[in-house]
Amino acid sequence: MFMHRLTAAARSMQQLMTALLLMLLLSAPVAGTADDAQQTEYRIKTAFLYNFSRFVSWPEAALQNRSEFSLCTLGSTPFGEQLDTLTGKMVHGKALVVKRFDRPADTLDCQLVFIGQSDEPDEALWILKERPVLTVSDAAAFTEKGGMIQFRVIDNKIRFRINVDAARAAGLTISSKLLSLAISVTGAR
Amino acid sequence: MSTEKDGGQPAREKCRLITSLASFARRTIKGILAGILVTPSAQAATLDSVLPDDLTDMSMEALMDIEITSVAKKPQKQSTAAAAIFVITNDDLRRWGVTNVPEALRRVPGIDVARIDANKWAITSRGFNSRFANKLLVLIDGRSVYTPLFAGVYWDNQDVVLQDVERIEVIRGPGGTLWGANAVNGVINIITKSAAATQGDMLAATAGNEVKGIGVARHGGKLKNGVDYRVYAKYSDYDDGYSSAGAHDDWRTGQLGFRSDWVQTEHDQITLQGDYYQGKSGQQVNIPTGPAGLPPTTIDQVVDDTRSDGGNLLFRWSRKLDSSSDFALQVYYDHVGIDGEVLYEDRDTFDIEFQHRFQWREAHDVVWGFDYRFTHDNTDNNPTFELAPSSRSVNLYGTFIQDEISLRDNLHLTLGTKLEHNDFSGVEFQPSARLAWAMSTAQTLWGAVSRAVRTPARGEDDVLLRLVPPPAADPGIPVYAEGNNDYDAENLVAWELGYRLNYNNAWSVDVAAFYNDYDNLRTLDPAMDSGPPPSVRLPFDNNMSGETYGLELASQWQVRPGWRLNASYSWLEMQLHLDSNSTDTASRASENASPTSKAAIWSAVDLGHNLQFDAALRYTGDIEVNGVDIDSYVEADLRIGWEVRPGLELSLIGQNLLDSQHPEFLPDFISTQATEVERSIYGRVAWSF
Repeated sequence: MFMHRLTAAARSMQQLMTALLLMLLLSAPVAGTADDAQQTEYRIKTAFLYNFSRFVSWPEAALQNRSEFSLCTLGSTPFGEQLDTLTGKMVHGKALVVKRFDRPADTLDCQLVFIGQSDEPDEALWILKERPVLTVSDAAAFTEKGGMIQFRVIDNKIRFRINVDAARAAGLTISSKLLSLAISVTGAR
Repeated sequence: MSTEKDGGQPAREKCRLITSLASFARRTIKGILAGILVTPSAQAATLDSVLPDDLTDMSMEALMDIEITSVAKKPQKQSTAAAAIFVITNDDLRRWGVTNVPEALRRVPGIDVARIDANKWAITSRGFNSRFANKLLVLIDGRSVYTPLFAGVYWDNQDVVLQDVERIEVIRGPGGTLWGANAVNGVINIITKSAAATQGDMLAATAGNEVKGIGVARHGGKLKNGVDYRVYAKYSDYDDGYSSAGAHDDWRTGQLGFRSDWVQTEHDQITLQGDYYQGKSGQQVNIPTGPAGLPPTTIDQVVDDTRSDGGNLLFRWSRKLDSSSDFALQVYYDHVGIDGEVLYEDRDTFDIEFQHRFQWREAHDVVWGFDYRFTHDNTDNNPTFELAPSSRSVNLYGTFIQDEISLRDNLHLTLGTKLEHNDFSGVEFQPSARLAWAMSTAQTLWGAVSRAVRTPARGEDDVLLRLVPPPAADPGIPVYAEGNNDYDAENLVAWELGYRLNYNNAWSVDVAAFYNDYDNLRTLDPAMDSGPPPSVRLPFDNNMSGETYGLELASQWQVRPGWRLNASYSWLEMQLHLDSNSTDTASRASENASPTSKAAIWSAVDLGHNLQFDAALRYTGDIEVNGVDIDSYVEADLRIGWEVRPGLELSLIGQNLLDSQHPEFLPDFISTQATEVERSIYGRVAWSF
């Protein structure tokens, strides 16, 4: 008796599920965009930028009297609107804001700057040199030129190199965890 | 078959079950309705879309392990795969709060997980569940853990550091064309992270009432020559289950291992990894005893610790030849040692596999390969379990080819076959044809027809196994399952149809339907042996056919940033038919050993302040194992996690919260005591530095 009721309950559940499924199949919306490879790449890089913010320490003077943590981009970047998903997250006790700039001089107030690949990074690096701003880029030989973190795609996965001397000169401390994940670290640990 | 009588549950217990089932059904349906009607949004559980919407929840190690495009040249390949795939990510393992692989599989559609006692599970895909379920192939980093002795998997010996698992891919349906024999109803691939993604140190400790303690220590580093490595140690201690007569199934296992990855250039990747484990799994087993030299007269309930030890060493070299071709060579050695009151097995396996992929005339993506496996065992005979010969070597070799043909940009036909020789049933071929149509960037429709075989296990050829009933049900005359040298492979022709929708990465649904046509299924046809002493013999034979059909659904809905809802549902019908000449009375019972329906719904919420809240409800329909009814059940799992600071996480987890205990399954072939699954509450600290 009880088993029958159990079975009946299970069956009515099945029927409902089947009906729902049919509804679903008949009313399925057709639109939508799939991630293409570049979008995926920059979604992952967005998450890395967020993690860089968390695993790097800024000198106290650079963060006090600030209500926000500014994560900036310089020039055109492939991030699109991805970066905006970070807005409002708390980093070192400040709410993260995303700012986009075209002139290197505008980035002096940022805590982290992603320098677009199409831009010549030299000018920005010269302006930001020894300022407490974490510089990140996709550009080739970025760390050799004095940039702090350079993304690389190896074996289809995102990796990064770190120039620890450049960070130290700027007063930034990169956590040992971040250093241990880097494919190469230039400068004395 | 052994039948253990389980005292029937009191009626009010059943009433309560019905009430909770009904309310669960209402809630599940509401949840799914919400998923379907309110906002069309979610992502399918396909390889391509396993990325959660908010990647900032993932650890950097996990981020470093994501492939931007699938390894195969065609970036769309996996999202448009013509197969039913469900992927459990590293993040899922953490948020579901599970402590081992069987627990992780409970929410997967189409997979039936039932615990027999605290250290034994019956796990299958698409029906035929049993402790020795033999139609599901399980691989850990490409190494098969399917035992060729009895067929099936010793789940208590398949421990992994869950924090270091990249993902668990569950493929339902035949995989024989690529994976060979015994991938009849599904393949589970447990894939661990590369050593580059587990740099740094990690300590984790779990403790509670049922999980008495799990400790993990891992160190990841980099050698001067650029080789990444990790070494780990893990120890687990589980309490026994519940039985009114007292349970003896507590178990402990300890494991050490390493993995090293060497990316020499951007083209070559070399991996060397290995593990060693020792375990002690408690059980109470029914053993016939009597005066020496005479037939046994009584059946004793013997409390026994099954000791196991094993290890493996695996080497893999993969090289990218150009943008559209690569090859991989894999060699492994595996040792399994089981020493219990009934089961004794000492096995060494050596396996070599090679595969090569290349593009031919633009439209053809060809992969072919060959493999050879040698396995040697030593067994120890006792009055209950005997193998003749007691030691045997078995060879398995095969080759396969598969061609994925691009008929049009959005229409792919995959044709292939495996040709394999085994020492028991000779040459087996396992062809398949799969067609995938990417209807739009968001929708894929696929269909497949494939053949797969389940080859005879060593036991089905050589065993004499006394089927021991509990003392109260002893018929007085011994009954033996008996190996049969003419026992043939079981075979399947499967028809599958699937649909996948991914709407703006916010809502997804994955539906798969199948019709399976089996032949040559295993039967045990009784015959009298006049002795002396007289006995009943049940030789293994292939006198059953059958059809199974069913439907599986997985859906995900990103309700808002930081809140994700998932649902899974499976429906299965089985019809088995004995051949007219068969006198078997037991084998058809597998029809009822898997639930007709099974559902789960779970939610993952980020509460802010680095707090996470996870909740799940699971429903499993009623089953009947060896003539004993096991009621359906609904269980709930909860987790609260707090990331105190980056790298340090505390969590409090509850599993099977709705009942103080509930039964899930009964043993098969080897008459051990079944125990019930108890409510489990535990805390976990995980610290990465």
